[in-house]
Amino acid sequence: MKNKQNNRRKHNNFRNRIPEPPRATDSNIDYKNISLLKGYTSETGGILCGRMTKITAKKQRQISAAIKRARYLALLPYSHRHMS
Amino acid sequence: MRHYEIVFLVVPNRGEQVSSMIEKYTQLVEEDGGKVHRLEEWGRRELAYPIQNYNQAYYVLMNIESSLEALRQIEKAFRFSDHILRNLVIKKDAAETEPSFVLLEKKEATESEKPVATPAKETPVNESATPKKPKE
Repeated sequence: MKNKQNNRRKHNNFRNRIPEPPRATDSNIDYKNISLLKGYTSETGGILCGRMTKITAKKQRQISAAIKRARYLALLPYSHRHMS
Repeated sequence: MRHYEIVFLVVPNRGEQVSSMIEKYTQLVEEDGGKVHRLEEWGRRELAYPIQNYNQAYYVLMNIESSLEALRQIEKAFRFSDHILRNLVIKKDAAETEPSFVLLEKKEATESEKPVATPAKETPVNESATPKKPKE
């Protein structure tokens, strides 16, 4: 167990802020898949950059486009400081 | 004929008008020889941020196959309706008939809350817009 963790740290050195459970696949990137997209936004509602998310550039583009659509429909916030 | 995906948000206190709106749009599509492949009512949802001082809205998703003219008419209807907060139209390559992620998530949430609940479809709440949370 310990060994495994050590290995992982070695590999992911500076890219270890990967959103964990729901991982992006070709079929589940969608502006309606809110639980997936939430994993790719920061605490303040911003889009995590590709260096952080460690997904391919193509998927990163799709994710960021999907987040923007979800934001327009108020499924996701633009910011954590929205007045309510 | 092309495939389009439409999502629109209706003002929460017009919940009873949603079904007539859907009927109107499906009619517009079908009169022109189009088809509605998927129709989903996500019901009243909390908005991630207030729009026009509303904290909730009624969401409807439609996947249609229609001509451009029919789509233009629907878009026009969106523009001139006072009860529509937002609308999104996307071109799609193929018809989609599977339930969307939002509906699946909703189903999971309701199932985990009360496992014996009847699988009734979301019925529009006819009360006037009174959010469950107290307004500030």
